[in-house]
Amino acid sequence: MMATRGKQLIAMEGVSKSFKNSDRLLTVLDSLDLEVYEGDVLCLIGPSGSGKSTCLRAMNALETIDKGRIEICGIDYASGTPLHKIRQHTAMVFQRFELFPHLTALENVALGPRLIAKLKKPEAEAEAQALLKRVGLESQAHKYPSQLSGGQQQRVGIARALANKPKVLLCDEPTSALDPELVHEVTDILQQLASEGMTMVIVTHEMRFARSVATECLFLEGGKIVERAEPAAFFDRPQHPRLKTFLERLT
Amino acid sequence: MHAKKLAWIWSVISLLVLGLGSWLVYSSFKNLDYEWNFGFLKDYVWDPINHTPGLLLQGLWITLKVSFFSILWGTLLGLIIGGLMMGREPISRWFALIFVDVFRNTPVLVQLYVMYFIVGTAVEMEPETAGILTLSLFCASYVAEIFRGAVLEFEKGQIDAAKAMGLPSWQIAYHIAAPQVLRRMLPALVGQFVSLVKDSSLVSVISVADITKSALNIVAVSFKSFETWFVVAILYCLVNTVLSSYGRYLERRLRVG
Ligand SMILES: Nc1ncnc2c1ncn2[C@@H]1O[C@H](COP(=O)(O)OP(=O)(O)OP(=O)(O)O)[C@@H](O)[C@H]1O
Ligand SMILES: [Mg+2]
Repeated sequence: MMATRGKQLIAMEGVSKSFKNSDRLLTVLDSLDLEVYEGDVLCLIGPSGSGKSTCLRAMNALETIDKGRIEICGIDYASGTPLHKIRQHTAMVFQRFELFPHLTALENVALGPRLIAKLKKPEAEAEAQALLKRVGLESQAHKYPSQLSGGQQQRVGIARALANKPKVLLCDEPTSALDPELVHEVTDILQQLASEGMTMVIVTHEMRFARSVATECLFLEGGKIVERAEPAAFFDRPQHPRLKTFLERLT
Repeated sequence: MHAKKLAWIWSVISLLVLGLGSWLVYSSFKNLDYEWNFGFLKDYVWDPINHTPGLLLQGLWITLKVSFFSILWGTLLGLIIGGLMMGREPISRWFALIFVDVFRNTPVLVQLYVMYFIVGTAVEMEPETAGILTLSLFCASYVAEIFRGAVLEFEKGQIDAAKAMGLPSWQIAYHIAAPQVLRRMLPALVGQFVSLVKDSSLVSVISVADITKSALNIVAVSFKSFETWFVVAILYCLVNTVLSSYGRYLERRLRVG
């Protein structure tokens, strides 16, 4: 099993995080361990409020952690390497898209190549145009985010995330802000990326999508990963009682 | 269809009001028993004896200078105060709030008197310095509020997106936050600047030789207050029209999608 795995890209070890809500301490991650290897497509599944977003945000240090260790491509966040340098290995797709509203679709995608890869504007925009074409939006390049539909905005979000050539793509419920008939626009692209070998960690409530895209599914419960299995085993032969009740409630 | 009809009615109302207003002004001037004579003012525009700019031009220059520096220092200070108001540090936040309240809730005239006659005697200060200092503080209190409002409206999720991209914080500030906050501030900011240019006329009470002071002097000698104030009003109007047109031009250029 281990031998078939590629390089380790993300390692979380004993990660704990709690939030202080008024005067109550809410433990969201409780000495959580999680590894992501090259070529993995992990779907992170769990009830609402179980800490899926927090777990994903901790991976690129958008959330601080109280205890434990997180390593991206062998670099520890606590190693003193500037945060933004470590974050350049990963990219994130957000539930609410979070495009930059003052930039066109093309400029949104070209921003990373311009500022991080330090490309000249024409080269950066040529790359951006190629990415927009890949997500089927070459004709919308000069529109502003407010002029695009939700599905189109999320596809720009994906193109923007890919523009920095990340080793891992982190997606936090990429389809849950979309109208049901637009969901496939986004899942189709993610499916395509998975088949091209992109390493991804996807938080999702779309079980059918998870089953078809994932190499492994993970169930987050009580601040820990309590089950990690290939989709068929995960959905058809769940082991953990909480996962059993969770899946039963869905059907 | 409906909207079109309504738009037409608004044009008619506007034209009617304009006509009524013009008629009122015209008939008041006609009934006024006064010999209008603007000719004498040209000696105050250009001094014919010394061949130097006259009182009006000198005053205009001082007005421009006082306004310019007050706007410049006021904006810089306002951004700092606005930043403190949103900061986490409680003492500086308190200080910023008190500063804004004091300068927004008291008349500028009183602020000028206090600055020049009370503070200005303790610390040796030229009238012009006292004027610029007061107007800068006054302007800063408004800019601070405008800045705070624009930052509160800013969608914070974008910051996470920019961080996740791997941008360092100065690039996030420069490429993401600044253009949007600036664009949101612009209309209110231009309004504030226009009103500051007009408020700068108050520095004449602490004997700064601005254009209002020049007008007071000219009226004292010539007794022709109608013509003098009329011309001075036009000069203020010109300066502010240039300022607000430039603001509108910037607004169009810096559109947020
Ligand atoms: N910044 C914060 N301050 C306080 N509490 C927070 C904060 N962020 C998250 N929480 C709390 O932590 C818990 C986990 O949040 P998280 O967003 O990670 O859950 P999730 O699994 O992503 O849920 P969902 O499926 O609804 O997105 C929730 O109870 C939430 O209220
Ligand atoms: Mg979430």
